[in-house]
Amino acid sequence: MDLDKITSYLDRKADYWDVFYEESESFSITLRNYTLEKYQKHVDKGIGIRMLINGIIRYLSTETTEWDIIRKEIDRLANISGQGECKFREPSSIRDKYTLSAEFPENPEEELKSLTQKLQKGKIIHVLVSYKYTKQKTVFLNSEGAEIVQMIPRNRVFYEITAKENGKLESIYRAVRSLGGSAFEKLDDETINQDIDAVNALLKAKYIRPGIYDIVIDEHLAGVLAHEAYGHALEADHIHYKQSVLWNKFGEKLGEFTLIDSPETQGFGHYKYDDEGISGKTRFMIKEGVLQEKIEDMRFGDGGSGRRESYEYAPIPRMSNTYFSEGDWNDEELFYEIKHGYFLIGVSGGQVDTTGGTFQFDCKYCYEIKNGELGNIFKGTVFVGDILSTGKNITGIGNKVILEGGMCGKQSQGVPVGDGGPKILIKNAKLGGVE
Amino acid sequence: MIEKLLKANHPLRVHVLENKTITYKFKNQKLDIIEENLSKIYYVRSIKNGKLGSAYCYSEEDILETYNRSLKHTIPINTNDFPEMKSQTSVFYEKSLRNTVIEELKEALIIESKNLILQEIEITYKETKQQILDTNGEELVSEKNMLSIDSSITLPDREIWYGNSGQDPRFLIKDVKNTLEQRMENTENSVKFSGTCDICFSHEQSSNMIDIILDGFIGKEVEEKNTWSWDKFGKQIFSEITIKEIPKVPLPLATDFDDDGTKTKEKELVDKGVLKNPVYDFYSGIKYGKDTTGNGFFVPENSHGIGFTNIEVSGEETEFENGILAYDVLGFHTCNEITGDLKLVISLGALVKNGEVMGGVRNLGLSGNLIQFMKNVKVTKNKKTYQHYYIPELIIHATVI
Repeated sequence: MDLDKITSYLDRKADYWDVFYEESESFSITLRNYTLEKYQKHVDKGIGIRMLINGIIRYLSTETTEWDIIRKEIDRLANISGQGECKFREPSSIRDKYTLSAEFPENPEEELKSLTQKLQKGKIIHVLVSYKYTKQKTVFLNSEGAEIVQMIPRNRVFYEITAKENGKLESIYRAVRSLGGSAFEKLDDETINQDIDAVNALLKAKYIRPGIYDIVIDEHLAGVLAHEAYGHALEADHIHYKQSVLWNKFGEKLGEFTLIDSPETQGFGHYKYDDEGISGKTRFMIKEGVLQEKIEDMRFGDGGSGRRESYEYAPIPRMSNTYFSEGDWNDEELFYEIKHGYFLIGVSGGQVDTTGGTFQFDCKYCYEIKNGELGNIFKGTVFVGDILSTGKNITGIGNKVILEGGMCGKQSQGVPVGDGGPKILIKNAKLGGVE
Repeated sequence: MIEKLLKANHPLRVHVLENKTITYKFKNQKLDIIEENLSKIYYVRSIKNGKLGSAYCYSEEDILETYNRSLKHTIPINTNDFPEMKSQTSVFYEKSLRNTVIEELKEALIIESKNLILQEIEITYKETKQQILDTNGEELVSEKNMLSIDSSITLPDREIWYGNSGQDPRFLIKDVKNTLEQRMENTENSVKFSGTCDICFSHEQSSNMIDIILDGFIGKEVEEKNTWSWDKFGKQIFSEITIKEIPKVPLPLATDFDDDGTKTKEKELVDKGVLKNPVYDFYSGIKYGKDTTGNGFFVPENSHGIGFTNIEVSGEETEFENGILAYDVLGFHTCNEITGDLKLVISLGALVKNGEVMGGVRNLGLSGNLIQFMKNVKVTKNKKTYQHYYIPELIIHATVI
């Protein structure tokens, strides 16, 4: 790809332009009950060209290296008439190179076989395991002279186990993600055994009755709460267009907790520069309960959080590593507060409607709590929350933060993120179930 | 370069997939972003010494290196050839779509409301061409195009979204505009509700429900007893609902052959509540000793997946007179495909009593199992094309809180 030719041409076409060139290598392997089912290595490359002309963003993405095609499409997009309202704040002029080293496993197939062996216990009849790494190298250039090269490697290991008894199935899955280091090293035997015990116990578990309960959520669900309930609602595009219940709540107190978004933290959502060439920075979105900061790209703020899935997409405001900071409650103290409620464990998904202020997240399973003591296991439930009231119902925050890697979807783009927090006690939580 | 590759002395196929997508995004009637994507991907799939390999690249120049990569990263397969493929050209292409005037479509979609904060409109035109070339000299070509129209309206207390796609701009505009206006009106005044009642899913949410059911038809999961349906084929487990795959009907996923090059055919997946047969692609068919059903579906990262084309749903029709109309539902994507457990939140809906809309409802949670929900499922008479579905609204019975 002749980037010089492209950028020289763009200088003549647009008030502002940037180019995002990407080369990535990915490798994936899947075993189903020890049998090799997928084994692929891919090399991707492509370019995303963004031009701002007359207040309208014009974005071209392609893998083609043919200059004539690229030039023709740049011309076509540049010539579309109209006047829009888009403006960018001060663009980057940084020149830098940032590379993280990759220490990935040498023989992932053997590691997956060994993992399968650990997982195939009790009533488990089916074990699917997979491993994937991605080495993404990006080059960012813009009309202000910025030139940033970043190389961030990521990898993840995944398993799904299914137990069967009397024709009934139960399953649990887990994905463990890591930046440069091996994801296998982050997966410990205690976690594996906890999942095996849970999936076997779930074969006899029932649904909870729907109702309003006091609950404790584990560290992973705290991450989903941070991400879904607050993080998305604080993305600057939602705030700008009043598509968030938080758009006019800055300076107000939402509860007694602190919520941080930090690309500088070495979680799965880490980066040094965002995809608009601006340094990533730690934001105290909510500090001691007071709403302070939003997640900004260079269109809807000062930038640092403009991200994209790949060259195929224009950047939009996105989270990085989002988490609640720790409190001072230990586990016993959190459970002690509950007369009858549930301890929700493990994430099986989450979503938010930022405008209406509703969020939901599902747990993998839960334990009943009676008079502060953990009781029987129940099937996973859904927590239906309201962004504005949930924070005020947080009455206890645990003392140990866990940050986990994940993928976040917005406007059909998935980006790597981290989220987490400590265990959290929430009063009057609405849980779905079966009568 | 491709011609040279096709002279290989073992079975090999080259798939060339070309896409051109242009999206116009308007905010409050002003053009905000135009996005264009041009892509051309070359997949190489080969079988050599009982091993199946696959890889892809973006330039014909890299195709030999890609072929070598496909030979290096292989999985075992118990066959020496791909399924039979006969040269054919299939076209689901509407020429007039190319000349659609975007500004006119946008104008026709404008919603009037004194409370409106923002209306977003997205209009996408997509053209695809797929070509499969075989070492036997056979060639399959498929050309398609499509228009997608999405719009959301932001009001002080809620956001309403709807979108559809197809080849008829007039239908799409009418459908999107009417749906938005009706939902805006029906949810204007909020009412409270919790309890057990009928829930009537909108067309898009009904299609989400059917998607989950279709997961139970993936042959390799059925063979591995790793899905809720594994022991239920040949039995009536749902009410009298029928689900058919209709690949030749000109809806967005229309195709005469699947991604393996196998001819597609119309088939009943569920017949009056009875689960018929699982579906297989070429790879899983070989692995489990079954014939491919023409359901090979691959994306760059998975070159032997199983998928579906267009789907028609019908069932026992009834009037929906009491319960919740569910417009926006969160959580379908978190369904447990193995157990069929569902945990949903109706984030926006309307309460209906004796056929009259009483007002909007929010944040209603429900849990349960797909099989239980589908045991008594009924449908409305209001059947329409929604994306690749020809579907009525599904009505289930559940407890919401």
